[in-house]
Amino acid sequence: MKMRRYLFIGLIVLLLGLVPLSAQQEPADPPTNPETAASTTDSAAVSDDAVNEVASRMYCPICEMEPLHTCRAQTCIDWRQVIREQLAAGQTEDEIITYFVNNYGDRVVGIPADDGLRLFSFAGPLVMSIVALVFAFFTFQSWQRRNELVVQSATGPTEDVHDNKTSNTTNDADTDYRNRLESDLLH
Amino acid sequence: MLAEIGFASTSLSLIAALYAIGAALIGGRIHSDRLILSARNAAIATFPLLLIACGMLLIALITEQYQINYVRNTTDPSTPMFYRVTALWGAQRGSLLFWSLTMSIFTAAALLISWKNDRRLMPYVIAYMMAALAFFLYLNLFVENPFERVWLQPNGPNDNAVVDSVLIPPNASAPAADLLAADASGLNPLLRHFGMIIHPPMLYLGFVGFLIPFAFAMAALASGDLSTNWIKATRRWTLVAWLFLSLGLILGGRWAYDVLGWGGYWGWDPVENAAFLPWLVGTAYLHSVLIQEKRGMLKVWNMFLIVGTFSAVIFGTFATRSGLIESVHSFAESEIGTPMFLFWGSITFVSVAMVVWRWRQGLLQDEHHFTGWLSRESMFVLNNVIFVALTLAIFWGSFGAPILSELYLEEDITLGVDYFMRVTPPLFLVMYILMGVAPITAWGATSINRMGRSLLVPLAATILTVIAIVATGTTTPVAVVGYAAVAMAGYVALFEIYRGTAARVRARNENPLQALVALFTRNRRRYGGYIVHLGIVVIGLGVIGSTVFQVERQETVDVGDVIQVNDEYQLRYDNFVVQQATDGRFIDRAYVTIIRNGEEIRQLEPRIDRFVQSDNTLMPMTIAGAHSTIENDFYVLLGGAGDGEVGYNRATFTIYINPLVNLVWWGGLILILGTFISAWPNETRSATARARTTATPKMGKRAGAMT
Repeated sequence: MKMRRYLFIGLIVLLLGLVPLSAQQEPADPPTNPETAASTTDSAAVSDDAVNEVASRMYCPICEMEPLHTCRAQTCIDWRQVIREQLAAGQTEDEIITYFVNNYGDRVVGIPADDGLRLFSFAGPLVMSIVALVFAFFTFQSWQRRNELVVQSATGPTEDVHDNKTSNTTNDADTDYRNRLESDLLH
Repeated sequence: MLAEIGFASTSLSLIAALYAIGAALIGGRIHSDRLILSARNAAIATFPLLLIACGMLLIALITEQYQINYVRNTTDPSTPMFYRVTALWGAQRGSLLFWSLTMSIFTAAALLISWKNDRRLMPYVIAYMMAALAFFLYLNLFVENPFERVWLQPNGPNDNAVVDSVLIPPNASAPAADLLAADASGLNPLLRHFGMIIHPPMLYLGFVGFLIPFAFAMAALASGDLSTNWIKATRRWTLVAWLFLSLGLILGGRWAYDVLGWGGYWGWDPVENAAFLPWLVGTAYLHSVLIQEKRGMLKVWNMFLIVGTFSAVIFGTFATRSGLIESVHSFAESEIGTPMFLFWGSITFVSVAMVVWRWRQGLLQDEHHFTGWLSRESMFVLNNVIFVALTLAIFWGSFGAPILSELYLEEDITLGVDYFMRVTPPLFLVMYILMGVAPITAWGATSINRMGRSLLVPLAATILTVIAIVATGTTTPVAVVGYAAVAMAGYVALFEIYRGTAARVRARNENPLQALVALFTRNRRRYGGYIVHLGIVVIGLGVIGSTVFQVERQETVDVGDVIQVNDEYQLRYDNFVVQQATDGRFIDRAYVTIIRNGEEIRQLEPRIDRFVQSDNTLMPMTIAGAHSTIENDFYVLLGGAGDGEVGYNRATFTIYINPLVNLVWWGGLILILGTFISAWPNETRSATARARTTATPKMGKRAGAMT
């Protein structure tokens, strides 16, 4: 039983280990655009793709949850023109986004730029996930405690342990599987 | 007359619902079968009454009764007949009435089907169902009345000559019909799509369907019959609700993909998320309830999950209809906001209080004990942790953080795709891993050897798949890890079906097809569940491909020019025409040709439909041109996001290549098939065989014999 418990805990740790690993990955690396780094004074020379690359990191200030690069509101059309001009002036993506956040607040980006607000945004799901895991842990603990009490008070092994041991001693894996399947199909 | 009949019919159904609540509760209290039967009949009567009410509104829509505000706001003289019919649920007032109708349909069907078998629960089931229906009927009659008409009344209230009222006010007259028709605004063009036409009814059926398991669970708590009877009585209802909700979500995604013109199908918009939350909690419940059925465990947790599911349904309805999504302050200003918030709060509070009450009485004790860490129970609990974590994370991102931030930090924040794409993928990854591991663990306990043996073939197939994926040039770590987890879940489902079939072939000398059919027939629930898993696997493959590897290009070109989309694809701008359709809309249509590796493969016609509004302005709607294959979608939009050029000489095109996106829709179809198989009634399991007895340890012992 102890071995299984360690393996189970190991499985949880492994699964949880994947969470930060995968969380570090960006969903997709946007294609690099030379325009974002290049310094030029002609806004017409800035491609739509370069503008959209910046705009896709921002949101419409009027429509709810509408990304800036797809929004048809006049404000968004104007903002995309501002982005085009700033790119033409040689500003980087981060500089342009900082400009908009400073002028219009954290609402214009998908994750708040302000450190405190960002912590607030991510702390919620983290805390709630930990609470859910703690709940699961205590559920397992409570099941385990009750099981130990049952084993101590019983004269023989519990029905499930017995079932398990019996099937474990079977050499014929196919027969064992079929028996278990038939047993399950009865219900 | 139509408005009067509809209004009277809705009023009568509210009276019937209120009577049913009273009669059911009193009948239950004094053990009067006659009173309970009367309550049932009153509850069932709400269905034909609401059918008449909806019928009246439908006739008004079809016959162009523009004096009814709802008709004038959702149709106009140029609206085609098909959209006149679907306008029934095209705006708030009509959709609330339609919601009430679907609720009465589910209620009537559940009461008729379960009447004989679950008599002890019935008084409370009726009371809960009718309480929910009565609330929505109250909204229909007193807050959002779809039968309200416009009247001209000299010396009306506040010296206003225009009065909105269902019944004719004193000295009032109806405005001229031609004036009313000219003032009609028509259905929002964005709603003129097949996906949007059937997406809302599917969602409503899904939402409302969860009322049945919720009402039975509450009835079990109220009556003290806390055996598995309520679960058995509602298992199929839960699956039906889940099926409709899944369909609604998939169709909503398809509508967004076809109509909204941003190349995607899921934008993590709060409205989408509000519908996704009950699906997540409902899915956790569907899994968790199996543990109670098989092992008599997690009774309290299951109660909380079904309460959570229905609470999420009401919250989602409240959030999307009240204006809460736009701003926390706007819901209080909307007429529907406060009553819906109070209903949501009270139904959640009362339900939770009842669970706690029975829990403290010791009536929700587990019947079995934990026997192994590596067991299906443990895997299902972990599965529940993941679904609950997903629910909370999405709720927090869509509602919790923005609302709290606005209320207490005085900061308006948006948690957009960036937030959701950081928080949810790890949880979905763990979900897929558990989907692969859980089916091969056993009820009670499993051994490492047995688990290893069961995993060997799927694991080997997964490793080969990963090698093949990497060998064909996909090396993005996120995609490779994601594909591996998703593939593993799929191979486990397939291998379990194969093992069951092979075992029957060897034991009974059946041919493989016979064995497969017999396997599914004998345990539709289990093997239908595997098909659902396969559907989720196919959706997962589509989501990873279309999210990680999407290509997006936008360029303005002269006619005859070619846009280089990537190394493989080009788009040539061939022609442009302006047309007018028979329904009055103007169409800007571009003709473009897709070229792949130098070879022309298809001509597309991306277009912009411009609908003439009642104020003579044009409302544009972008219709993509798409070339769909199982490999990818080549998706072209004309005109950019409103600031591109649209004309013969020069035009702006936004091009998306969405790899594997069609798997999302195919996966949805597989999921529907699997749910049908799971929910289909077993021939051998008659109503009488399903004796409604309190679950005993003996039952649990038999169920404990593992898979």
